[in-house]
Amino acid sequence: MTAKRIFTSYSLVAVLFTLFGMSNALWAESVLEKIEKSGKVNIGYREGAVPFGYMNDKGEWVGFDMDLGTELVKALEAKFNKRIEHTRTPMNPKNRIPLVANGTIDAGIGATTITLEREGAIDFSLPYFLTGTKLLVAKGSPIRDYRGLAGKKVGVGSGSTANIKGLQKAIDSKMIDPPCEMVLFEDHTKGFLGLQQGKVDAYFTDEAMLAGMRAKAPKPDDYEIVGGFLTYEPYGIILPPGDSKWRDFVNATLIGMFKDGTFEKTYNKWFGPGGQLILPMPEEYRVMLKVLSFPD
Amino acid sequence: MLHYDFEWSVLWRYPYGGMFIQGIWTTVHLSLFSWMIAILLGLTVCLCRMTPLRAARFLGGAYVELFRNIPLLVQLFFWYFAAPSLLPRELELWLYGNVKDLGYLVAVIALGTYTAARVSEAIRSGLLAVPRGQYRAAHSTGLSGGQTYRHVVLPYALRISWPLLTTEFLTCFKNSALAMTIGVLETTGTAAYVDSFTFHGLETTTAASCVYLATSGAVILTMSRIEKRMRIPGLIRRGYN
Repeated sequence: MTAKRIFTSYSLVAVLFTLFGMSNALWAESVLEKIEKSGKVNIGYREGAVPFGYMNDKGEWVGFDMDLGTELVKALEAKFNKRIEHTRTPMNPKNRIPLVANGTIDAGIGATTITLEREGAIDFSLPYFLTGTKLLVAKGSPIRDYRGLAGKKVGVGSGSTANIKGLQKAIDSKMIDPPCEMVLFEDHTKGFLGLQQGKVDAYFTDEAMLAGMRAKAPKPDDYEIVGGFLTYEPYGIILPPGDSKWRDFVNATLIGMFKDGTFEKTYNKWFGPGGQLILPMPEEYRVMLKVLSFPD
Repeated sequence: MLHYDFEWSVLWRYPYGGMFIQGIWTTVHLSLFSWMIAILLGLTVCLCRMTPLRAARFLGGAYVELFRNIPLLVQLFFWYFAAPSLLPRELELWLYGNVKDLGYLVAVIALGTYTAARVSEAIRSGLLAVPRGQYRAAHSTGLSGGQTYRHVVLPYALRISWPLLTTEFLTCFKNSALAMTIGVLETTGTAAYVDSFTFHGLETTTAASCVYLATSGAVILTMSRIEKRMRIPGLIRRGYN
């Protein structure tokens, strides 16, 4: 093959890509109007985040987020006074933002931390969940808090950017000195396997996630969650950018649930006594919900 | 409302520019180290398959079939998650505690051993393509077995295998992208990583594609130049370029 021939074939590919790239920029109506017209709403949920969205023992796809989604669909049905078909699409931390940004799904409810950087790509609803980052370690581990991580290996999810940034800040501010080594895992399930095997000394992510990982372990008592909150992680519903009608509707639905007690009931179903994951509502969370209970 | 703003500066602005350089450099040495293992091991396996020893032939064949017929991704997961737990517990913990970058080491080993099976087949096909008459002619001029290989058969065989080996090297180079699944931040991994921070995946993936295209192009050019220089007139004639 000659240099000329390689060059020719490469430039052909480049031309094709340019043509392809020009066919973007769609002007779309509000999602709310689309839902009314089609009678369908497509919402994304997590599959492996206990108890936000996961497969239960019977193989059913359930979760706290899914219950919120169902309430949202009920509100849509009440608004338009007709049946709305609820399509559930699986999403993960890596694809959840692109899926909403490109319009594949109308909303993504999946334990997603609201960050300013993410706000640049998509919009968020009001926060509906508040947790913070902690550490999961083997029972009896010498690591009791973040200072104990000095020089150790810590697992993080490669898509959990808010977590990675929080940990990096702790390293930069010399809170963890000498720095710990971050080991990236594709998802929390593989990360937990790494912790079980001893590949990492601790796993770092949101407490709600850690509690879910621990609950799924063969012997949950072999692991413990340690440390205070390093960062606060408010979760919001991912919504398409620049669609204030749809966002207002979702927010109003959430506020309604905060005020009439539906939200607390749903929370207790999953996180209260007898729920999938016992996680009493922290005081800060309670205050957040009160603040967000805007008057009519 | 749904549109995508291209922002190419994510490719060079701090801290992402440095990440990309590091990612590309990781791809380069990851694939070169794997290639070294592949050539050495592949040649050994191939020679095993060509010896008159039955046991060696069997072992060589078994190696090729085992490593060639399991998807590389599965092999990576095996080496990273399962293989260490087959070791005694103390050794396993020592490995986790003292190896600085286990994912990288595993990627080199997995990619090297996998590519070795394919390299072995490439070289073997070259050896088999040398006509029997060449062996006999060499013997009849009084060359020993080793001399026959060194002076007559291997120079032919390697020329025949050359384009195949080029392809195998390129495959090895591109397969290194799978290392991202075990946490190695090579070119593709870096593209996905930067994407998760900036949401500019189209730019980062395009950049990664260009890196692979450019490197592969350079490798193909060099290899075909070498092939042309080494050509023995009248021996092998392939195409018209």
